[in-house]
Amino acid sequence: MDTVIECRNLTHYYGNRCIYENLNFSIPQGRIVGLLGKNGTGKTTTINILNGYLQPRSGECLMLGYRAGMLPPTVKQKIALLMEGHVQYSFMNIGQIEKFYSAFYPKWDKAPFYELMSKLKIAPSQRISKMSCGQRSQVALGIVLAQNSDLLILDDFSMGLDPGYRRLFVDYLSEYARSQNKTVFVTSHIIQDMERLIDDCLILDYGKLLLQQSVQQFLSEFKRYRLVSSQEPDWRDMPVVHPEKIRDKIEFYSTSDKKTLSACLSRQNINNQLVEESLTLEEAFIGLTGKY
Amino acid sequence: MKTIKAILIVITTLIFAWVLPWIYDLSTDTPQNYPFTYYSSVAETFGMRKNIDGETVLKDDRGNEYSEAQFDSILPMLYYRQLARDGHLPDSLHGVDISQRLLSNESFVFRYRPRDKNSPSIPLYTLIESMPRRVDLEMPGDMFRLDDEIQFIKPETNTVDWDKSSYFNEMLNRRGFVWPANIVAGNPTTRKSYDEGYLITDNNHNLYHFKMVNSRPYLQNIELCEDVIPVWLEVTEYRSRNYYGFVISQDGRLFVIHTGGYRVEEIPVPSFNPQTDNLLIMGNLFYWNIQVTTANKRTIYAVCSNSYDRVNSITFDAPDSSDNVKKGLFPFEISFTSSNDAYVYPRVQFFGFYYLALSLLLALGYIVFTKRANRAIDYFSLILIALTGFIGVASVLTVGDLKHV
Amino acid sequence: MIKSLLYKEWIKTRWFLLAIAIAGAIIEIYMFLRVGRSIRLVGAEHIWDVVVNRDQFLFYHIKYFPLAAGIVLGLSQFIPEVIDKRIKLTFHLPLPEKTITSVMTGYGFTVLLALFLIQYVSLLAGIRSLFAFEITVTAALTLLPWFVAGICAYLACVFVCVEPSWRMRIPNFLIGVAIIRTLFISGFPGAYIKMSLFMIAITVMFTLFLWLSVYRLKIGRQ
Repeated sequence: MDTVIECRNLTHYYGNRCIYENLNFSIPQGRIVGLLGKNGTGKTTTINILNGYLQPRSGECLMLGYRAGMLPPTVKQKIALLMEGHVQYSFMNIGQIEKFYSAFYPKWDKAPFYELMSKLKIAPSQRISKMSCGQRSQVALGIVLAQNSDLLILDDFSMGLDPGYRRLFVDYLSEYARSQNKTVFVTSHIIQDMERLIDDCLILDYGKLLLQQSVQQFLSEFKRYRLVSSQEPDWRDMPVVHPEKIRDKIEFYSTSDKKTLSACLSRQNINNQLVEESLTLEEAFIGLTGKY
Repeated sequence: MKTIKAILIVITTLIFAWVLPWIYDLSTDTPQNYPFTYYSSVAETFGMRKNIDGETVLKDDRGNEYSEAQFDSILPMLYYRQLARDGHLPDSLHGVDISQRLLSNESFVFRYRPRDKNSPSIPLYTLIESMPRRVDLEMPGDMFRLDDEIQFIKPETNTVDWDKSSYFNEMLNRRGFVWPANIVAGNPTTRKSYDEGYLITDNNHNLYHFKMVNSRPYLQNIELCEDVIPVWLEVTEYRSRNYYGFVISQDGRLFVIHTGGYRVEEIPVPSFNPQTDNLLIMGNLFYWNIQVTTANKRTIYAVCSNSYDRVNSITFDAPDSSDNVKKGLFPFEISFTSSNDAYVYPRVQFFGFYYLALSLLLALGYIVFTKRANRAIDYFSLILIALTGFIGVASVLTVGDLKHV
Repeated sequence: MIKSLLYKEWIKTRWFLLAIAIAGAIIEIYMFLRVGRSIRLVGAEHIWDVVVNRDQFLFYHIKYFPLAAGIVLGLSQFIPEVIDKRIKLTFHLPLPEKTITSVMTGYGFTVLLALFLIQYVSLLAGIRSLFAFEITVTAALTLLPWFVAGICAYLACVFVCVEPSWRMRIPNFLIGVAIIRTLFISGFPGAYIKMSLFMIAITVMFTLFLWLSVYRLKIGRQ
């Protein structure tokens, strides 16, 4: 599989604040990849670096084989961008914006755009600035889809959307990307609905990349365990994350299997009646990154 | 991009060289006046009015101090109206019977400022009938231009009066006027007691007196010495009718044209620079006070108004305007206007190298600062600061250095 | 693609351009009504006399109009780009950034220049119909720096708006104000006759400066 996006040893600081150091990841062709992280972990920073609006302190990014920020126009035609907040040319109406963009993209396909638009209750002459946040998100999505590009970059598309629109967005995008074998790179801090969309996830925490694997693998390995015990285990010996003890209820997350964990607990003479729970992506995300 | 940034830094420096000295002047300017000086035809010395710490001091060149009434009486040519009202105007002076009317008639003021000459002007002129049918002068209803011929244009229709134009043209050509006109000077107003039209030099610097008498052109060549090239002409039209006007030559000599046969007389004051120096003549029955003001001094010559002999002179140095703080801060100053002309264009005035002490110190400070901040020295900024000092620092602080575009 | 880019600029600016055109026409008509009335009341000769001998300029109402027009056009074009960093979308369009910037700025510059030319020429034609050639020439010289100020204000707007950081936007703004201020130092008719080179120079300079802002935006200065 070809690599569509590749970031090598990416390091960036805002002033003295480290965003991340030596970040490495790559995105293969045809995958839908989510860059997940809490607010302020550098998701938009990464998008800005990819688009060349920010020079990282060190490291480099390649998109479709070209250095970020130095993409020739023909390569830019293959990359559709959805900006954070669904920013579009809000002084245009949908007819104008379709006409505007169509000239730039040789593979422009207005069908998905108008199909999406037909679902919205908007007048043809209504300016985008006069639309609701949800409607604007559909316009921005429609533009991105109609570009028929090989790579779609969507920065925090779920922000400010009510559940209906979020679901509409995710379903439409997911269906579109899979049927056309597109590569999609999305960032989000809202994990709900992401499971329906993404194949792989990159989870960013403050300063580093926590995880890069397929959602399927992540969810099959990363579990939550519960047990009841008045004694708190010595977590230092155990392969767990974010253990929590409230009264005698103990909860922790781990990628290790139940057998290994039970053995660890037995060695500490702790009740090893573990309850294993499978997680949704959102729960797993919280488990991995912590509640705070 | 480095080049553009460098241009931006330099331009910012130039803006500071314009704005900062201007702000400095705005906050420190104090009035710097010469004493008012007038030659006394009674005491035969210069009477002076000085302002010392808000108090008016009246004295003369010999150091005598005067009360106000005394000062009036030693300068009867100036204060004759006050004296007449107080009943102190003498009946005669130097054997001449005087009256308020006579003194008023014989008094005149002629002022020349470089700005008068160095101003954009519209080369259209009004030729008033010098012998009007009625008592008052009247506007003629047209204006004329003098480029390769004379053309009268009627404002009401914005068209050329071809008949009048050709009539005047014929006469000017017959008199050998060389087109186009070089200097055209007159007082195009009806608020004067009589009209003497224009003093004009043609393209060969020949001087002419040109006016309209009974609707007919009048052109009289005025003989000037060959070496006199006029740069400024003034039609006087003073009540005394003694003179047609003044001529200032390129080399800064002053001439008066007498009404009697267009006799031209040179006034014996040292030549001045018509581009930069101000001239003021306050004439009276006995003396002309000719005041020449240059950038750093003012001299008043008393010249006998009949013989044009120079009888006395007095010079004042300019009130100390050398501002050492300013010279220490700024290497140069840019301004766009000047009191000597009405044009706008950038002018640079260098203050010398006093600023170097500060600028080298600032350059050193810049090196220390960048070293402390663990940054590489930007040599462009360093050189700029060393060369321009304070304003260079201001510029680098404002738009940043060349290392960071 | 360039046509489409121009289409976007047109959508942003069309109402503002109309407003500038109408406002300009209103000011010109107003000025001529005033001068016409003065001529009827006191006679053309007196008005000419005032203009020629008393250094009065009768068409001063338009003084700050080109400046305002330049700023309005600049803001109408670039404020929508700057708000929400929309210019990132624009620079993501499949054209070189230089082309995009040139087309956008070139559009504004050309349209403004065309509007100004129409206003300038019609004003001078009107002046010429009432006054002699010499008066018209001086009027042309007096009006010129005001219109140049409009062009410069437009370019300065781009210079300030596109600049990505407030830390530099403020100096850029002040530099723009200072340079444009030089065109309003004197209202004396014809005072700027020696400034033609200067006026060309500052126009070129602003054109250069705005590239600095574009470059800084491109490389992500914050």
